[in-house]
Amino acid sequence: MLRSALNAIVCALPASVVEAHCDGPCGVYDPASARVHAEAVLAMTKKLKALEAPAAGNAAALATYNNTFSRFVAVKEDEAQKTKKELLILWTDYFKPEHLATFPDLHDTFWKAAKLCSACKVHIDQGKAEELMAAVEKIHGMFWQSKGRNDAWVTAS
Amino acid sequence: MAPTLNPDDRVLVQRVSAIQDTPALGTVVVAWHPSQPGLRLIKRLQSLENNGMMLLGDNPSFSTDSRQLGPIPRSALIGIVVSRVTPSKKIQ
Repeated sequence: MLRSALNAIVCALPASVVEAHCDGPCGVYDPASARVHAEAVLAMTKKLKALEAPAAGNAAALATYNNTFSRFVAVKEDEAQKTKKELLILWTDYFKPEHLATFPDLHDTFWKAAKLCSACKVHIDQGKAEELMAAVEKIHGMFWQSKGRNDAWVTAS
Repeated sequence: MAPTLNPDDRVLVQRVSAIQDTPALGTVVVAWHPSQPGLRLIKRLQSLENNGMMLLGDNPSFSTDSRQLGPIPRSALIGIVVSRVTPSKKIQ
């Protein structure tokens, strides 16, 4: 009785908030963000490869081609950078030193995945984009295993 | 701070001004974050170093604490947690 009355009084009083998790206030992490951007990199790489140059002498067609090509490259560049950013958030904020016991290749996996993001910017290389997707899939598996879950790898395309 | 504390738990804090001695090692304490103004941390006092307090979370896989932040200055200590009010249970 006394305790419940005390609890009611205490709960009615204002109290400062203290934080046990202060890296990401939301605490929400999901490798799906990296996966969506990596898929976009692969999609733009395929589109660039499929783009056909216009016949010589057609200035209007050349202008259209150059414009489309430039836009595709810009999107590929942007999506690769976003993939890298999402991977770095998982690597540096979510994963902790304790995870290395379970995943001894954690650093190498993220380092290579980040390098693949750069390679996808520098080149129009479908193989590299597919390697990036495989790296993100591996990280997806590590992430959910670390949470004791076994979420399926699902892609949008 | 799981399993000791969970989100939305309420705790009573004895302010540092009311503490005569240095908190005992193993005490759950509240301290200001060393680089984020206005952010209060709740961690367990692991050890006292020359340059500050080593504060660790009870859930190391998900805690950001002195392993990343380094020693927390003694001057950042706000108080020690003396009990949990809701749900009522003694803090070990």
